[in-house]
Amino acid sequence: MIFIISGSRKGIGRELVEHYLSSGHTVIGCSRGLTELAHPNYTHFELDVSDEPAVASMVKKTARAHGRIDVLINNAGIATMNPVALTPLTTAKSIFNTNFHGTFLLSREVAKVMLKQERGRIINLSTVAHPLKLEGEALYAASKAAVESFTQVQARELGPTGITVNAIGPTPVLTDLVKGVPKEKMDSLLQRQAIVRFGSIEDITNVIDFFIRPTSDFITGQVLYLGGIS
Amino acid sequence: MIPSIIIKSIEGLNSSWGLEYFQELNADTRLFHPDSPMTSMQLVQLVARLEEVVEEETGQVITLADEHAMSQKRSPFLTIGSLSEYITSLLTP
Repeated sequence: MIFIISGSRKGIGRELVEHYLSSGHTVIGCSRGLTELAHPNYTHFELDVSDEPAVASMVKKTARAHGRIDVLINNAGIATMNPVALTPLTTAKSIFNTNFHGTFLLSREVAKVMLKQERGRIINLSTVAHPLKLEGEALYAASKAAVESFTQVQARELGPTGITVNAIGPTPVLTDLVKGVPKEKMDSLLQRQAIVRFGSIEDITNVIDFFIRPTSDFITGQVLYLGGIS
Repeated sequence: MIPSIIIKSIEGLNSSWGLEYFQELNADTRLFHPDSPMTSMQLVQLVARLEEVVEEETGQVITLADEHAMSQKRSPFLTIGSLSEYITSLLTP
C-alpha cells in the first residue's frame, strides 16, 4: 500500500514510517526538516503541513508517481507545556497551524485522490490530553479536540465513498514531545490510565493496522484512546 | 479553453453519475444549485478532477476551495460559466 505520514522525521512518525516500510509498504513522509532515513521505498518532502501549496503539490506528486494513495496518517504535531495565562498568541497559532490546519489540508487534498479510487483510510493522531483535560496543555488539547471533531464530521461527509476517517488518542509515548515534562507530572498522568504504563509504538500501530484493514470498512468517525481512557 | 475543460470533466464523471440533467452542457448549465441534482460529493469529485486537468493543460496548480462554495448567491460553482470565470481568475496569464 501507499502511505503518506506527516511528521515523519522523528518520534512516533519516524517509528510509523519504519514499521510500514518493514512491512513492505511504500511510504511518503514529510516534515519541516530533512531526514537521514534512506530507503528505496521512502520519499521525503521537506515542508510545513500548514503550507497549502506545498501540501497540495506533495499530494499531487505522490498520486502521479504511485497512481493512488491508500492511507494517510496525520501525525505531525507540536505541543508546549504552559498555563493559558502564559501562552503567547504566536504559540497558540503555531500549535493550531501544525496540529489542526495541517491535518485539515492533508485530509482535504488526499481525500480528493481517494475519492477517485473510491477507497482509502485516513487516520488522525489525537491525544489523551483532551479527554483528561490536562492542565498546562490547553492549546495542545484544544487543537486535538478540533482534530477529533474534524475526524467525525469528515467521516460523515465521506461515508458513502469508501473512505474511512478515524483517530487514535495515544497515551504518552517516550518521544521528544514528552521528554520535557517533569517526571512527577508524567507519573500522575499515567496513574489516571486504567492500565498504568507508557504507550509503545506497537500499541499505536496495532490500532492503525485495525483501522486500515479492508474488513474495517464499516468503522469510521471513531476516536480510540489507549490505556483505558475515555 | 476553461469552459471546454469543465464540460469534458463533467461528461467524464457523469458516465458514473448517470445524471440525465447533464446530457447537454453549456455556460448556463447549473451545477451546485438548487435546480441541479448535483450533490456536494459530486461537486467535490468535479473539483478534484478540474484541479488535475487544469494542471495538465496549463501547468499551473490551483486549489478550488472557496468560502462561498455552499452559498447560493456568491458561489462560483453555480454554473459552468461562473466556474469558468473563477478558474480563469486563479490562473496566472
